[in-house]
Amino acid sequence: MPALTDLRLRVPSPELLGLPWDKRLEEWSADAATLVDLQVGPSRHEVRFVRADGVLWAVKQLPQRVGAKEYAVLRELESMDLPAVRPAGLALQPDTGNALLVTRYLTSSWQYRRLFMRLPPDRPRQRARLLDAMATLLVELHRHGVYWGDCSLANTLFTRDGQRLQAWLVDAETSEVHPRLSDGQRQHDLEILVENVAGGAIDLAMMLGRPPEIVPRLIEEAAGVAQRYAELWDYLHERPLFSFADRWEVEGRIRRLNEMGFAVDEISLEPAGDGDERLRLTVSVAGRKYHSTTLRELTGLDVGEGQAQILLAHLRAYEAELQARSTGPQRTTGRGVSDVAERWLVERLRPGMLAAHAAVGGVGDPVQAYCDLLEVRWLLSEQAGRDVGDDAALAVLADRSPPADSAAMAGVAEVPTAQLPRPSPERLREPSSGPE
Amino acid sequence: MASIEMRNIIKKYGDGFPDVNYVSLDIADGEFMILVGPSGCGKSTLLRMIVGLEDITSGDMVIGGKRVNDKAPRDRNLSMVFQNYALYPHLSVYENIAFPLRLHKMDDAEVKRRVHEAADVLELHEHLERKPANLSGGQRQRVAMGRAIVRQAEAFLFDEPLSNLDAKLRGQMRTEISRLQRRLGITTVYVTHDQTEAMTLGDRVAVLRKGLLQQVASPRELYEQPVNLFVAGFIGSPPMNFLPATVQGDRLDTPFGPVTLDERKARAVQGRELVLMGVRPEYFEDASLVDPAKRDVGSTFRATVDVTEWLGDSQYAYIPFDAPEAVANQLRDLSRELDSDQLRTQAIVSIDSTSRIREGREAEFWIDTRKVHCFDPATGDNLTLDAEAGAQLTREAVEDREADLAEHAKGAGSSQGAGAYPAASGGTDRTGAAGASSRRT
Repeated sequence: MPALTDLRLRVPSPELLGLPWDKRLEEWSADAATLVDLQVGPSRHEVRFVRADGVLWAVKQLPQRVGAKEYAVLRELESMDLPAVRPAGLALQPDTGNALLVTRYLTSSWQYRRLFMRLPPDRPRQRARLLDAMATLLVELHRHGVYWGDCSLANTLFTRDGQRLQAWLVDAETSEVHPRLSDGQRQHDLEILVENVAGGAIDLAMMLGRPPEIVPRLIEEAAGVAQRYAELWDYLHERPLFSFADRWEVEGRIRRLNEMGFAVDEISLEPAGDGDERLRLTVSVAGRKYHSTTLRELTGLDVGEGQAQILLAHLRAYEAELQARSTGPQRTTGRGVSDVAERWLVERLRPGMLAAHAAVGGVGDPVQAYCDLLEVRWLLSEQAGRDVGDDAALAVLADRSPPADSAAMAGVAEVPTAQLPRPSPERLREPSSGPE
Repeated sequence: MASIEMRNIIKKYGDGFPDVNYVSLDIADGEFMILVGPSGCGKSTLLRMIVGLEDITSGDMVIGGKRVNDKAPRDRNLSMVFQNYALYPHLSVYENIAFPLRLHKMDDAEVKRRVHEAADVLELHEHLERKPANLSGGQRQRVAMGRAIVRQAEAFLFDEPLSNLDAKLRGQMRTEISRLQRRLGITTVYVTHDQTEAMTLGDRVAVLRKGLLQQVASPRELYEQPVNLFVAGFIGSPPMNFLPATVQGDRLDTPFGPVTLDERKARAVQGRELVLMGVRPEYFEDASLVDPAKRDVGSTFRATVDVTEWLGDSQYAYIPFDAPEAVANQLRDLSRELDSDQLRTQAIVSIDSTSRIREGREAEFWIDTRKVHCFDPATGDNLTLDAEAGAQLTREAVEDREADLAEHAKGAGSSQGAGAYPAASGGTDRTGAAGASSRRT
C-alpha cells in the first residue's frame, strides 16, 4: 500500500476525508467511495466522480508535479474570482508518483457535446452563444494574466446564465499565471483556442453524421472567436481621446461597458500631451458583475450576470408600471427603490420562478427557469403580434418546445439523460435547415 | 529549417530581478538542443522568448539569420509540439494530421502532399483512413507529431512535453521524439527539468541556474568534465558524491582516507587547504572484485556500509561520512537547489551486483582516482577541469550528428528506413537510467 504523506483538503467534509487517498484512483471501489458514473468524454488522465457529504466532487489522478502545479493555479484563479472549477484538495502519493486533485463538481454544468447532441441539427445561433462564452472567458483570463495553454471545448464546462452561456475553465494543467500577459502569449493562446474549437466542433459534427459541407462553416465560426475576442479586448483596453467639451461621451462609454456586464473601477482623464489639447480616457474595468452586483444590492439575490441583466430589466419595467399606475404628484413619494424591489420579489419574481421551475419539471435553477419564461413569452408574443401571457409560455416550456434558436432551448442540456426520449437515428440525421 | 542564435538575452520582470541573464547560445541548423535546470532556472522563459510568448528585455534573438525580437509568434514559423496532442476520435488519421492545414484553407492537393510526406516519415501510411481508436498508443503519438510536421516549421519546440505522462508512456515518447528528430533533421529545442531526458535526447545540453548559463556541451562532456559543482551535481543519477578533502601536496585527505592525485590535478589544487572531491558512484568498486591490474590506479579504503540496494543488474551501497559543518551546510543547500532529496553527507557507491558487501558491516572499497574532480568549496569551480578533453567529447558528438543527418538525407525518398518503428510501438528507455531516480536515500 502506498505511503501517504501529504493530503490537503480545503473543505472540512468528514466523508471526503474518509476517501481512500492512499490508493490509486483506478483502485477506488464502491465500498470505499460513493462513485458516480458521469459521461465526460476523453481525458488525458483518469478522472472519477464521488459523492461525499451530499456534494459531487471530481477527482483527477495525474503526476505529482503537474498535479501540484494545477492545484496552485486553480487556487490563484479562485482568489481572482475567475470562472474556473474550484479546487478542494490535493493528495500526494510519493510511492506512486501520483497526485489526486479534487475539485468541486460545477452544479448544472455540461459539456458542449451534451447540448449539441440534444438540439435539432445545425443551429448556428446556439453555436454563436457557446463561442461567445468562450471568447468572453478567454478575455477574462487574459485580463488577469492567466495563460490557459490548452483552451478547448473539451476543457470547458458551460452553465446557463440568462440568455447567455457562462464558460468555465476545467483543466488548468497547462495554465500559468503571470502579472500580465505579453501580446505574444495572448495571441498564441487564442490561436490554440481557435484550432481546438474548430477541431472539437468538426469532430462532434462527424460523430452526429452531419454533411461535410458544414466543416468550412464550423472553421469560419471558430475563427470568429478570435474576432470576438479582439473586439472585446480592444474595447476594454482602448484609451480614446476626447475634447474637454465632449466629455459627456465618457458617460456613454461607461454605459456601454455596463451593458456588457463590466463594472468600472476608476476612470481617469489626462491631457494627451504633445500639443494635443484633448484628453485621454483610461477606464479601469473591474469584474464582469455589473448587473449582478446592482441586483444584489437591491434585492439580496445572488445570481449570474446574464440572469441579473434580465431580472433588472424586468424590475425596472415593473417599477415603470407601478409609476404609471400611480397618479399625480405622489407618483414616487414614499416608495423607495427597495420597496419596489420588495414588491417585485413578492408579486412577480417568486411566483414566476415557482411556476416556471415547475413547468420545466424542476430541472436546473429556478431563476434560470424564470428567465426562460420571460424570453419565451417575449418570443411568442412577438410572433403572435400580441402579448400571449405567461400561461402560453409555461405550456411551451413544459413541452420542452421553445423556439429552436431561443436561449431557453439550451435548457435541454440540463435535463438528466434518463428523462430524455431516446433519440432515433433519423432525428440525429435530420437534414440541415440551412444557415439562419 | 533554421539555426537559432541568442545573443546576450536578458529577461527582467517588473521587480527588476532577471529571470534570464545574459544568455548567449547558438543552436545549429538541425541540432537537438536541450535546456535543462531546476525550477526557476529560466529555461522555460528562454524557450518562450524563442517562440515569441515573452517579450525580450534586451539582446538579440536571431532565427534563420533574421532578428525576430519584434515578430509575433505566428510570424516566426516555429512549431510548439504536443502543446495539444488530443486526437479527434471521429476524424480519420488523415484528417487529424491535415487539420491545422484545413484551418489555413490550404488547397486539397497541397494538404494531400504534406500529409503523405508526414505519413512517410512517421510510417503511418497504411493507417491514414483509420480512426485514432484503432491505433496503438505509440501510433497515436505519431499522429500528434504529424500535425506538427505538416506545418513545415523552421524548428520544433518542446516545453516539458512528457511531464504529464505516466512513466511508461514517457519512455515511449522519448524514443519517438528522438527518432523523429533524427529522421527529419529539424532544429529542435527541448525544455526539461529531468536530467535523464536531457542526457538521452540532446546533441548538446545547456544547463541553466538562476537565469545564468552554466555550461553548454554534449551529454558526455557534461558528465565527464562538468565546469562546476552545480553541473556536476545536477547531471548524473545517482548524483556525484562530494567529499571534503584537505590538500597535502599531491595527496588529498578525505573521510575515506588518503587519495593520491596525478601530476596535473595535484598542480591544479596546489596552495589550497580544503577542496571538495567529486567522485561519481561508478568510480567506486568493491575492492575484492577489482582487477589487480587496475588496482594501482586507484586508492582503497575501509568503511561501514549503512544500506545496500540490489537492483539485479547493479548494486548500490550507501556510506555516511563526517563533514565539517560549513561543508555539510553547503552540500545541503546544493541538494535543495537541485530539487534533490539526496543526503549529501552520505556517499552512494556503485558496486558489482555480485558483491557480497552487506549492510552494517565494514568492507574495503576502491576508488578510481583518475576520474575524480576537485572543486573550489567557495566558488564551486571545477579546479581539475580538462577543457580540451571535454571539447573533444563534444566535437565527437557533433561529428556523429552530422554523419547521422547526412545518412538520413541520403536515405530520404528511397526506402524510408523500413522497420525504424517497431510494429507494436514498444518504445524502450534507451538508458535504463530512469529507474535510478526513485532510489531511496
